[in-house]
Amino acid sequence: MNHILLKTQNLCKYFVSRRWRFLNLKPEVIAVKAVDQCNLDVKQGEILAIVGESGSGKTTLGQCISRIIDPTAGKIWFGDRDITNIQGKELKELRQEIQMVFQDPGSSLNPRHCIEDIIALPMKIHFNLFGKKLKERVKELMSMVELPIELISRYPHALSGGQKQRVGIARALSLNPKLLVLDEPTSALDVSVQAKILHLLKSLQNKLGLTYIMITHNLSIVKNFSNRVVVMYLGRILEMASTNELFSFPLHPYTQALLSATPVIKEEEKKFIPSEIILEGEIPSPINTPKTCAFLSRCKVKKSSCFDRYDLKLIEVKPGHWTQCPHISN
Amino acid sequence: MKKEPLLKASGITVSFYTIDGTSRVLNNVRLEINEGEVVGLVGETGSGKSVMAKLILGILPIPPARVISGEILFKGYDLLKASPDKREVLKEKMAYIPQDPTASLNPVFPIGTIFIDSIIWKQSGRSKSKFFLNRYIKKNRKEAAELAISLLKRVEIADPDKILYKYPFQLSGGMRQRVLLAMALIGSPELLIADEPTTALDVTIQKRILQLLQQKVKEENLSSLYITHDLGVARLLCDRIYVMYAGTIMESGDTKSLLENPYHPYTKGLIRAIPKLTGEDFDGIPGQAPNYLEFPPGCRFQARCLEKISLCARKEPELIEVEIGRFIACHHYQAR
Repeated sequence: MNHILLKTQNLCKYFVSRRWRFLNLKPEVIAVKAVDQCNLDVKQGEILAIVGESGSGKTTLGQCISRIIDPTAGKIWFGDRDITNIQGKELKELRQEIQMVFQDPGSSLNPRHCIEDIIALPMKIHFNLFGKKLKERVKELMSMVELPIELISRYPHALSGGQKQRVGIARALSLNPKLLVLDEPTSALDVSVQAKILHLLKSLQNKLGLTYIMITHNLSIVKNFSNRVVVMYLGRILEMASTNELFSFPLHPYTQALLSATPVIKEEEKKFIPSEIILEGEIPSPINTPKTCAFLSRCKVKKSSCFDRYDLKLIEVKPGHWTQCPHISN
Repeated sequence: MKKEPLLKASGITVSFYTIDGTSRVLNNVRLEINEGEVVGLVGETGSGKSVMAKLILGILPIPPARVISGEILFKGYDLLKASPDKREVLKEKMAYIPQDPTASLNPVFPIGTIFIDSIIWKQSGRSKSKFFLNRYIKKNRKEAAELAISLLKRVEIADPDKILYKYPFQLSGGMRQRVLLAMALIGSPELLIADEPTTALDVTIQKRILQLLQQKVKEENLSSLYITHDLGVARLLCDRIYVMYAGTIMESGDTKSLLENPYHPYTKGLIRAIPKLTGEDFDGIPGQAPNYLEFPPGCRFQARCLEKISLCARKEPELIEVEIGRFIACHHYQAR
């Protein structure tokens, strides 16, 4: 049995702001619930995919997990350690365990640093490496991500999108992390480059025994890349299952709609798609969301009883298949 | 008897003159759009898709670009040789949906102002003096607002009269794209050029917009050129697909046969590169996107091609009809 590497307990991230209205004595409190009561666990050596539309809080969850932003409530466990509120030296040590690869390879690299400096900076800070040793390590990392060594003194603008993303991966790998949070690593790339980056990530995982949290909105990538899937909507987790299970038996109506909207190329792929479901409207605003089911406003199969169910929890319907639909849990 | 196509481009070659040198961005492109047909133009970033669209619309900056050769026949008139006045008249029959709905609506004006202005601009025959005169007549503005509301209703926007008073930032991405689609329908165009209209949207909204587009194309009897890099989207929407690489049309044919049975190594590679729901193996195309400044002689895809033969480095392949409706530019296939 794989042991659990990372676990979140009722993780919340609210962005609170106050708005003063004319002649009001008290400010109006606006809470954007970007991540709301998320429970998930990541096993050692697996690839966990987080899917959802834009605005569903995927990136915020990823950033909370890697402690780039501080969660509002809840707990994050890394191994046996509670990392929710660690600061200073402890946090610096945690950075060696969890690293992140960002979405836009163009803007996540400093345009004034050359590739060598970009990859070397984390090692200078954490390992106190300098001089020849550092350069050797940079070269080793570059060959690991299949970047030509000639690029070592180039600047990011001279690189293609795929090469920039490889630099981002090399930088993340430089501290030998255990967990890598990949925030839409291929959404800015062309399909032919995307396939190469995904293969690289997979081979690196096999070689180094990494664990990935992959944030994406592309279900075809999820199907080919990940072991388990978490479906998010409006800051909440609606469904969680292993990839094969989710694609063969999607339970939540939102997952079904998401699957049916995936554009496919070949005729054989159509049998993986449930019947045509078209969602009306768009993802509602995450400001002061109700405590009922998050998907209620766009759900096609809702019943009147759905409106009375508050504080829904993820329920294990089958072994390993969790869902939050009030229907199914009845 | 076969009907003349609505738009027929042949032998289009466009070069960009820059400090670094001359780059031939479009190379002998042939493109046909029949009436009532949705044609897809598929290719990776930097393959010249948008340049083609801008050339047809007449908004390509010339210079730095220069048209070396070729002609675009639109309803029997050559767009590249037509006088500026004639060009303006022909432009009215074309509509354009841009890629990024956020960047193409002016953030300092409400939707209504943008919408009414473009209606009055079209009504006054695209002449500036008439436009500024007509704009300050209240009756014109009122009529234009009514037309705007009816157009917004046609793209299924709920309470359109309120939308007119909203600013672009108050609308969601899908809404903005609908507004732009409604604006494209002003003056009942015959050709709709859509430049990746759904790239910035989520899959669920993308599907909805695509269906709307399909429905409008049928209802309004439009022909459409749909530019995309997503073969899945092209499959949903298009009747025929042109596959473009480095400014050259590599393969064309009707959607179903092209996707199920691709002939050209580039099309094959492109289809293989996309992860599929069946869990099939996928793999990228080796090599990198081409540098337009220094193309070697011969086929433009040869450096990344897996099936190249010796002829590829010497002679540029021509686009030849191999089956009815299937065109391909590849020595390897033609030699077989």
